[in-house]
Amino acid sequence: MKFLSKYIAPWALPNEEIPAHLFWVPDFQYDAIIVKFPPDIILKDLFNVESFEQKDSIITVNKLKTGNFFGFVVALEKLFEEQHKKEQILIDFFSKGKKVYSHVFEVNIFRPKLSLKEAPSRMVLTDDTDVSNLLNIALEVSGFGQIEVRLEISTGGEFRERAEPLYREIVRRMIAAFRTGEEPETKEKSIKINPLYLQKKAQEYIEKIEKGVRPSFGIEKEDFVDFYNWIIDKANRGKIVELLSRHLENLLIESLIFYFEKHPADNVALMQGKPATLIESATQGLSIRFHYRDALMNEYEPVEVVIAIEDKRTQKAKPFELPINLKWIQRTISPIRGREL
Amino acid sequence: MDSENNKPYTGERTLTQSKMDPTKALSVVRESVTITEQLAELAECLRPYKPEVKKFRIDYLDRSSEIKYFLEIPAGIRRKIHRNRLEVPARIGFRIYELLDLDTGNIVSQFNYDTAESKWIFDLNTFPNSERYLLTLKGNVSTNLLNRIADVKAAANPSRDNGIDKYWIHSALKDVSILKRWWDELDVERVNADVRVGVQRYFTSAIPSQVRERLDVGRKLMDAIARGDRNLEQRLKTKYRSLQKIVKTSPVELYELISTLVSGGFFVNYLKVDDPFVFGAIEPLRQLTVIIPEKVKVSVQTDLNFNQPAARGNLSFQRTKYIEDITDNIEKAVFPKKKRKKR
Repeated sequence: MKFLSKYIAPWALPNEEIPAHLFWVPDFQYDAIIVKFPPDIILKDLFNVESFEQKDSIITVNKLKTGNFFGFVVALEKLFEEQHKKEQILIDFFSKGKKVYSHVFEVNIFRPKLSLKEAPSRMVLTDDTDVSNLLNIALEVSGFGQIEVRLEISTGGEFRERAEPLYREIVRRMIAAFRTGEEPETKEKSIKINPLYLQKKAQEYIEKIEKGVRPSFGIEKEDFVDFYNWIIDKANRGKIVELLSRHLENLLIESLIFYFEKHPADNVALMQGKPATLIESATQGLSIRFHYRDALMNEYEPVEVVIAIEDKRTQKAKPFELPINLKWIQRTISPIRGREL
Repeated sequence: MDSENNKPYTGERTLTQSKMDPTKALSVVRESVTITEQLAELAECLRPYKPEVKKFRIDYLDRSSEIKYFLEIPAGIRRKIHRNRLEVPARIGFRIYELLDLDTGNIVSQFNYDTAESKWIFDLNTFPNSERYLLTLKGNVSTNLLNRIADVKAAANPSRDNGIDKYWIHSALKDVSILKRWWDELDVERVNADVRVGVQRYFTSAIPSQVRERLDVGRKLMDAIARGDRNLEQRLKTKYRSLQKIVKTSPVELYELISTLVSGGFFVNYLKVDDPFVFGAIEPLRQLTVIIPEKVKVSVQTDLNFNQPAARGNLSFQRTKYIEDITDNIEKAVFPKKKRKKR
């Protein structure tokens, strides 16, 4: 039997569809093709197959539609612990009950992995603590592919996601306009920023507030009802849009800064930009959950850090923002060479 | 494995249909019936002239089809015995594109479109004295049908080796049973796969720290002005001015520069694709919630047919070279006068 082409996609993420095919010189005689899949591997599609039988993980192809070509698509539909999983798919060609040709395809599935390398278990706050260099966490990114990281922080109560910087910027300006009732100026700015981008963003944030989500900054609980009513009042929409266009330059700067902060290391995207948390007077501990997912939106088990806080400041009443400094250690592997880069 | 998969199954099941919306699957079946019916009706119209399919092309990218028939229209006295009109109704779904006189190589232009009856009419009395003709007709193909005919896939993440990012690409004919009769002549052209090449991180490392500092001071300065903090405003203004002397680019210019560096025209220089694939459109992927495109969409195409029912290969992106060049471009824009380090 002479093959013109034998192929299986050389690497994939969990849930990624993996195509494979065999294409041979037409004079080859056979009457059935039997394909054995490992139990974890799910068959998603068959190419050029007229009729087949499936029993558990074995497929018997009785007839092809045309020509001398057979193909399939498989995927591993569950997440696993190892960074690399290797499986085999066996293909046998039979003629009159006798095996006349065999081929083995190797499936290589890789996943990214985030793990904690270094974090304090305890922090002491004094009057002369340098907060900018207080909380340092080292994380290791290993395995394969890009990950999106999202932080959830709790300072006692429930876990809250930190808002995107642009959300803070836009909402802060909305709050200022609500407070001062300032009328927008008519001065035009010649900034070529994608207007759809800002519109979409502003809309997203307004919807968030409309759902009753109170921003964690700039507005007190007692004022929120009034602010909420101001936001949902359609008469104020024009004012909000003009406010955004008037501050285009700030928003552009904010967006650029966010863009640069979003990608702190190769293969890592921090969805909320540079992280920080608000430390209030009664804060005694801090829990941070690092959620992460790959390019196909597979969500992996999060990494959690718990830190006790000992507040020795003389003026404890003053809340402050504590930056979370992250250090990324890379140990990614290349699927082609199957070893670390 | 779930219980459904444990059951033995016999028969002609298309696996994709089990995942698909049943109404959609039904419409695909209906459409494939239609295309077969259309072709049968067309053959019936052409029957007196012994039609023979010479080529059946499907253009995946345009979602169009093209069929070429070889026709024998007797000349001289034998033509008189035949009906002297050739008619093709428009409702068939194919439109007449061209009729070629194979004896002389000229294009026959003597045909009319009858608007009242919606059909093309060839008056054979006006035809040249040739016997062999090639008739080309064109039609449209739905996305549903295309998805049933061909399958395309590309790696979600690249593998990395020696500064080069590689993405695997695979395309294959999936089900050509509806077109089986024409299989030998069938050509599915420009089967298109989109590879999304990530560039998100590269600008972060290519932007000099002074630029980020200028952005940061600019932000603080505007805040100070807004709050009316005169002292802070003065201090920041001095700092901002000194940074402005070093960093010549404004945020707007920087944004525009980055947009140029992710444009298809610039990006194509760093790409290579294996045979039999060729490049189609290359453009930054515009996502509404991202200010700078984080991915560039690279279309790669190939033809699939009897001799090549499947195609495989890699798209390579010269990552290291790209980072070096964008860094150089950004430095030139940001520090126009400063002596730059030679690479």
